Amino acid sequence: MITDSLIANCKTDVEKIKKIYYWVQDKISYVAYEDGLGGFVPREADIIMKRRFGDCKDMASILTAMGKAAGLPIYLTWIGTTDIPYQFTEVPAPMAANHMIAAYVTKDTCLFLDATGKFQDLGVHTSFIQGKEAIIGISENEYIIKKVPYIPHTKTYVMDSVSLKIQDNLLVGNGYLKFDGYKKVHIQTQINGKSYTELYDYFKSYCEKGNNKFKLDTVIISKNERDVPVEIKYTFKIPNYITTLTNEIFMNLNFDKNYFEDFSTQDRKNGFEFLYAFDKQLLVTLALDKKYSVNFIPENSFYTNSNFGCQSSYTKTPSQLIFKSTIHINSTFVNYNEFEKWNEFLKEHNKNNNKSISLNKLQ
Amino acid sequence: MNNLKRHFFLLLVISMHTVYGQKYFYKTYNWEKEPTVYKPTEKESTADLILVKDYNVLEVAYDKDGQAVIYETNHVIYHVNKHSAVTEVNKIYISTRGVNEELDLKARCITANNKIIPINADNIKRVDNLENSGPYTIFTIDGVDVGCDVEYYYTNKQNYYSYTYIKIQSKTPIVKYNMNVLSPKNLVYETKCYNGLNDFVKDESDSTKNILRLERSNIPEITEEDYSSVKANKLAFSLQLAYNTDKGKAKIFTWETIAKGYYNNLFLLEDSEKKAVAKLIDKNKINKLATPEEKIRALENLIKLQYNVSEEGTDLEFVKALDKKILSEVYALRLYIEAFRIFDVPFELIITSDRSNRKFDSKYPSYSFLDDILFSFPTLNKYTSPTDVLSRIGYPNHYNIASEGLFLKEIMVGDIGAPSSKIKQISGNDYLSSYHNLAIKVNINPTSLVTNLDVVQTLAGYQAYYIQPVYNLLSAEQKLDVGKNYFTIKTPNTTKNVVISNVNTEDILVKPMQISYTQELSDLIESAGNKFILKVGDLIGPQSELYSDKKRVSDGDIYSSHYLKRDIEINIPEGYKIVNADEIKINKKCIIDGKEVAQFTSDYKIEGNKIIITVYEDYRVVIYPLEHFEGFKDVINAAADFNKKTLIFDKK
Repeated sequence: MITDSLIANCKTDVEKIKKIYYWVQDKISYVAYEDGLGGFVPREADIIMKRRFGDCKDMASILTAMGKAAGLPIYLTWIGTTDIPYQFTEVPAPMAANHMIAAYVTKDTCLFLDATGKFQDLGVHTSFIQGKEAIIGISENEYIIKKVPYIPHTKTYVMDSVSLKIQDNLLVGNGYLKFDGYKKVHIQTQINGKSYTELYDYFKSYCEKGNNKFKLDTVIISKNERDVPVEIKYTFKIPNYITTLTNEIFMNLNFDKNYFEDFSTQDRKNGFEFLYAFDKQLLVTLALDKKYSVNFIPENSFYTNSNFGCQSSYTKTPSQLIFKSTIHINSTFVNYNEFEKWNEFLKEHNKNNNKSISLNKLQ
Repeated sequence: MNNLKRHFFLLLVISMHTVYGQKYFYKTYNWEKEPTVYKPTEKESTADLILVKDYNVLEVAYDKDGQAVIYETNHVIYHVNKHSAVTEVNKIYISTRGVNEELDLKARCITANNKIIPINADNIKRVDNLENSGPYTIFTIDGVDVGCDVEYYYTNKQNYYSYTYIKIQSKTPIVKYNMNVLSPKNLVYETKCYNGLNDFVKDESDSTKNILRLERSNIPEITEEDYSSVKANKLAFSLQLAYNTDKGKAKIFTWETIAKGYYNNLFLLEDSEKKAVAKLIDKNKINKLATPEEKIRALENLIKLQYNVSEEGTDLEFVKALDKKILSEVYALRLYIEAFRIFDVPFELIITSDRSNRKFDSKYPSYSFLDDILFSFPTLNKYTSPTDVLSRIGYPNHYNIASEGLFLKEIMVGDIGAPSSKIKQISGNDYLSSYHNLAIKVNINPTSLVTNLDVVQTLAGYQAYYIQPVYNLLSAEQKLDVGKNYFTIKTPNTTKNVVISNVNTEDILVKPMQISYTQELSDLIESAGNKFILKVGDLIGPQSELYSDKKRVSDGDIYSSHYLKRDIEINIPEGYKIVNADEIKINKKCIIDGKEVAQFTSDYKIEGNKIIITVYEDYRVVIYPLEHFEGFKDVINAAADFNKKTLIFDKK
């Protein structure tokens, strides 16, 4: 009944799946409360509907039941999360699975639906099943195995764009943050249900730039919807950041320089893993306001290979100085034998970390 | 220390009372048959979750065989405003510690459309020991969603207890809180409310019972403040039995009766027990040491490093337990007391509260404020915390200082000992005894802009409290980690040549712990064309910054008085000069009643090709009263200001 009313105005399968998938994410809470047989047997959809909570099997069960009611090819699907270091084809045993999801399968499409993640847009399945084989139960006697794809780095990004002005000894600015893919899921999880005070405290730390005197003045979530990026706008001040010497001003515009602090290869015996591939961009625009001329800017930097890369640049226009820094991580693994490349990447990324720009005050 | 308290308090005042036909309140209590969902006000809607009703009854009664018991009823209604609160209330955990019978349990969800979803009895589970926090009854509530109410109530028959301290404020705002205390006529209770909570009111409507009622509406959620303990500032009350009129007119809890309980259990040892202690002192050659202080310290080192002392302790008798080196806290205290007698050093036992948990109330004699035990040595003017593995004589646990406590000593009347007790202040240490000093020599390579640092850090007293006493108990890997990460101010993975000294047993809280290391840093200097900028503030590490966005409600608490002195010596490279040195001068003081109680100063001098910077900060008292908080904040923030300071080097 619920399914009928949900999909009443939908024309395509994708529209229908979205209605059902998002309804389950919104309305059924993920609660793991299991013992005995409850740990293995998915509950019937009507029980889950009444309880309004369930574990992964229950989520898969209700998605499949609603899919069936809507006439969609959605099936119960067994999978092992990335915690399990082998696949079904390598170890064909129940121990290769620790999770259950649902899958929409047609001749040329396969979409994995994991409603234990509350904020997964359709197509952005939970990160911890990427690259894993899934057993999709088509009928009692028929199954297929499909590999869950990795979501490409271009789909997951965070972009932080800030405009700065110098007011006496203070830096004043406004910022605009944009999140998509897994970065969107992450930020939605963080901000979900927070009061303004909690949001303020969270973003004060998230947006901090320059030093811990960073003062976040306002923060607004300007867009937080399904299927489009999350957008946040904020305004701030940074006291005690710029260094002034009579007519000269120094400051470092690279607010992202500690991003890879925890990824040193020193003392490491194994490679490391990112939860997902991603892009990151910082864009800083400093207004010169006809009051300052640019005395010194650091050189640009660039590194790329097939798995990761970075680029940073300083651009001078008559009215602005623009710093842009981008990072892309294309692969979730950086193996031990890639450490030499990784260190070259870090070296280039860190090249300008300790370089300030210098401005002259115009009289 | 709860076991210790239970151990002392005998229930003789309560037991064996003739029972007449009793009317129990809980049997008449019920919830609404046709409830409607709560409609929060606009203000209430801003919280994720609100506690609409928190109704409590403690009904003291005598059961069939004349034993006192307590029927505890708790009736709760939560209202869910936001989805994030769903998982907070769709699983309910009720502690059943001390419960000898669960009499009633009802729970339901009232949906936003006033549909009632009762609890499924299959969902109720009983767990003997939930994650080591004792027995619990747990259940899930079906149908929880935004806009619904979650309601449950239960009555448990509880073993009798004669005092309790209840904090009613939490992270969930409460619309209405009620506490009702019902007791037989002969059992008279007293209450005291804290942190602005209104008092209980006597209800005389029932001539067969004593009834006390407390009601409070609109209790906001508790908010954290820096340099303050949120726990000690919550709305709270203490409740305890004052009189049992069947047994006379004497008040049950006075500081004297409480002190006597501790005396009887800790100060009176059998001859065989005394002998065993003497033997232990003798065997470890402790009495051969020159001064009482050395003897006390040696005893502490022995017990704290070689004996297993725990709250639960052991079933063994004292002499055997001593032999096996497994002691309950009671046994450990008896051992200390007898040893102090052997050392012939005057001492007093102090029982007090942990001031970060609740403030000691000298006007209200109660076990509620007796969490921790200290010893005082009046002739040495020192204290220690005997069961705290970090403490040594001179440095009792800092959560027990700057507070009052119950001091108990033995007085001798002829050969007979007797307790003598008094409430006194436990003074804090001199700020000069606790410090964390830093001496840094900085060499700059003007071409590569790499800096080489020689660092020596010295920690004494409370500044060494959390590391020096346990350093030698760490694994090799942990020690390495401490050397690199615990002390390093900047870029830990560049730390080399780490040497840690003064960490032997005899050094603990006697000699300052010292750590030295070298570093080669490439991130201390920023280049900007011809000039370069040394981030000198980074050398003292990040400092906390206090903002004044919200109105401060509590005193500032620095935990222990101390000072911090940093000497930074920088070689100025050949051909360069510093062009903004005066920028680093700061001078902030906090003065209360004409006395300087905290300060931050930074200054410099140039000697030849060196700039020598001195950064000094002290906090001479522990508590900074609310009305003087701004002065305290200025000092704290001055350190944060210094952390941003830079020196500009230019060619001569």
